[in-house]
Amino acid sequence: MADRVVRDGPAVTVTLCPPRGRINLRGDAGDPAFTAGVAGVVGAEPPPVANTGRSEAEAVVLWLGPDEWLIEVAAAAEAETTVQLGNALADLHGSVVAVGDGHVTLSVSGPRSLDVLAKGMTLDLGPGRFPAGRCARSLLAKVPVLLHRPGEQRLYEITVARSFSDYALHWLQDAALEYLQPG
Amino acid sequence: MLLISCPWCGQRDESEFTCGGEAHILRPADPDALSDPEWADYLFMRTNPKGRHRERWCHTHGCGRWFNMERDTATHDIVSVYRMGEAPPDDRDGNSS
Ligand SMILES: [Zn+2]
Repeated sequence: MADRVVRDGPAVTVTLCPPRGRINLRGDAGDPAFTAGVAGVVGAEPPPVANTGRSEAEAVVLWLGPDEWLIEVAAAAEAETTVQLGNALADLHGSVVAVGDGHVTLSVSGPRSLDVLAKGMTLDLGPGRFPAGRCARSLLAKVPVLLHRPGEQRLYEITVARSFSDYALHWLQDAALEYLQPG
Repeated sequence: MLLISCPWCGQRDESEFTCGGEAHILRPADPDALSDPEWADYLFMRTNPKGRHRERWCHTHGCGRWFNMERDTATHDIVSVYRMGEAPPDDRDGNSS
């Protein structure tokens, strides 16, 4: 892929994020042994509330479904964390699958970031509707994505299947273009 | 475009969902006991009403979960949404439709 910072300006910045580790986790959020087992490895329990995420120093745990989460860790930690989770949850019904290489994360940030996303998303991203820590799977320009707002600032991370990443990046570049023109 | 309330995620655009056809069709307990027409009726025949219809839907591009929805096929009004395994809200109230 091209440069890390693909489109940059005061209004909006579209960036390709560095590689990161990702682990798909499934299990019973109502089972204390499951939540404690996950927390023991990554430092955070899987959030039971729909479309929310938990961020800790070593990992981010994002809700994907009522029994499914995505754990983001450093790329170098993915393999070891996967093994540790597998061991911690060995006696429970569930699954732990490393999926980092299959996905790419892009980011859109800046005051006009919502205007860019709104061109291709049907999610309600209006004031108060997508606060810090929120995440949601949806479609961006027909591509299945996981949208995550890590913090209070206007920065949105978009995780897509690697096979869609060029298309999604080029689409975002194009959508951001009008906000990067001088004047 | 419909605005559909996923039982898990809340209101989302129809484009995130997949319709899985009529809901509450029970697999016959003893398929071997059925005649071919009876088996074909189970496999293929649907009520296809004009009006209220209970359907299975999947939030394919959201949480990925299946759920039930009662919808008016003529007006597209969504009457109710309920999770897999739950009784339709109308039945729970003691009404039938
Ligand atoms: Zn959903």
